[in-house]
Amino acid sequence: MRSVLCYGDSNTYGQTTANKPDDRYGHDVRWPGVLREILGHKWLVIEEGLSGRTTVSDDPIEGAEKNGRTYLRPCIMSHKPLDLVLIMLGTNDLKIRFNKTAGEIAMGVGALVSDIKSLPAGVDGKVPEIMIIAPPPTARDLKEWSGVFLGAQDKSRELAGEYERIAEANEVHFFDAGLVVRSSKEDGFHLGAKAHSVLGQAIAVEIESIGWPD
Amino acid sequence: MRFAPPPSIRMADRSSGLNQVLARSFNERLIMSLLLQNDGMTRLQLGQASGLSAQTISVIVRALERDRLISKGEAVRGRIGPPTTPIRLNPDGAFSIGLHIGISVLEAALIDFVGTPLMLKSSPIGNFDAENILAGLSSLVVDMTEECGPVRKSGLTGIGITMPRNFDDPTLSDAVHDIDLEDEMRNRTGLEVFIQNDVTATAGAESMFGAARNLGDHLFFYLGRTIQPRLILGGRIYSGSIAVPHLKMQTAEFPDFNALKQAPDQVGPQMATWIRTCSEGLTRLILDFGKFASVPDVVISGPVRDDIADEIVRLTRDEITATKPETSIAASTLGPWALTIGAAALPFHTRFMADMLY
Repeated sequence: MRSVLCYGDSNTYGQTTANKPDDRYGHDVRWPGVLREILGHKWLVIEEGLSGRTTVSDDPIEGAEKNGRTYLRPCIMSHKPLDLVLIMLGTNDLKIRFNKTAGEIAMGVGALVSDIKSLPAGVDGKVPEIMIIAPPPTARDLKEWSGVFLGAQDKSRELAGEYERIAEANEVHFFDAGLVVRSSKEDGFHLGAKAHSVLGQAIAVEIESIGWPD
Repeated sequence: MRFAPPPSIRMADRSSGLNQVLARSFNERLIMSLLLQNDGMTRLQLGQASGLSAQTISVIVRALERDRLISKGEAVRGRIGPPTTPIRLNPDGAFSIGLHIGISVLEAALIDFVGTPLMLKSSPIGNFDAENILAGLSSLVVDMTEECGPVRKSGLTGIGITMPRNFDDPTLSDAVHDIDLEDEMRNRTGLEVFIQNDVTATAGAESMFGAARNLGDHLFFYLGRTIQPRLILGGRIYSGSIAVPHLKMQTAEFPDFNALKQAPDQVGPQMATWIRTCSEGLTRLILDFGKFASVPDVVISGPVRDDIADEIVRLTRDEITATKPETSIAASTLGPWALTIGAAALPFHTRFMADMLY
């Protein structure tokens, strides 16, 4: 049995579009659940999504626990040995309070990759395969979140390109989720139930595409 | 003149790569070595053969695709792509010119990245002196670069030059060895120049894209007026230091190898004698070598067309089978221009193949 860790933010946690902020999609609706449904006979799918998680920053408003870097190491070590780590982060880094460019957000993702590679978290002490997933761009209309995400519309459209470069430089896999899903029109940055289904299926294809010896 | 170290080969099956960005070029060479030796490997197979992770293979494959060194797969931007698509070297990804200096003739070959000869030329050496040789070599290169078209010209990775260890005549040897071929030819052609002994380079080419492509340790023989042996052991090519004895034939009895290449049908009566003498010599050498070590495979090359090489192989096999039935003997697949193709393989080896420490 292989194992994959899905390390992400609210869109991995399965937060519903923001008009119902406390709500979470059912385990079979959110994309790691869709992935489990498709790969579950061969793969253990581990969900590690936290709403508000950033790549490498403590959040001065939402709390230090949103820092994706400080939680990554204990999280990885709790679940090792891992065959694959998926990282889909960066949406929360678009918040104006962090004042980051798309390139800097990508560098944060690169830092996470370096951290994973520094740990003997793979099978037989190797480095696990790592896939950087670029989150889909935000909608143009971010509704009541427009102030929090000031300028995020344009920056989010640069993320995929920057992530691809970082993936290349770090020799890890890359998938652009924007190829298959869009952010929901409801709140502008979360994924609808249909998007979760499509994304889960697409990621399953990408995981198979990596190629796994029997 | 500076001789390059003998080309090492089959690096790929004895090393595991380093999973670091810094070592990228080494890993890329490792992958290209594997692709040269195997006709179409999937990313999965490349990973298993090289010991590199799937992510490293993916990145290397993308980089090689960008540089057109491998044929374009079905890659979609932003996605990983199928792991089971066979990956092949792109024949048009790189080109090379080989020059061979013989006793009376200069030969040139332009080959593509998988060793297919695209152009073959030769020109007689008039007076065997430095200026004549340099002028002859340069004009062969100029002719080829003018005729090969802009794509191949811009894809040229260098010039390989080879020559015999000695030219049967010390004055000829001195004349060649006094030339700074590397400098002179680089200045005259603007291309990088690699120099090597002719038979050693040909043994290397045989392992890259000839009959020894999938062989491990083996013996390689190049036939002519002598039998020149090479031992390929653990990915390295070894040559003895003692002058190779001539075949037991009078000079007049040798067939005219140059004429044979140009007009294969004018095979004189000398050919039969030469074939028989070669096979006797080979049999003796193979059996003698078997007293020291057991090497299962033998590859035989010479300036002759395939049917003649096959005849020598057949005769030798008949002799050997009684004593050493486990020995497998094969004819070169590089054809009568093997020495020139061997020269052309040198730039590829130096620039693209995984190398061993000497």
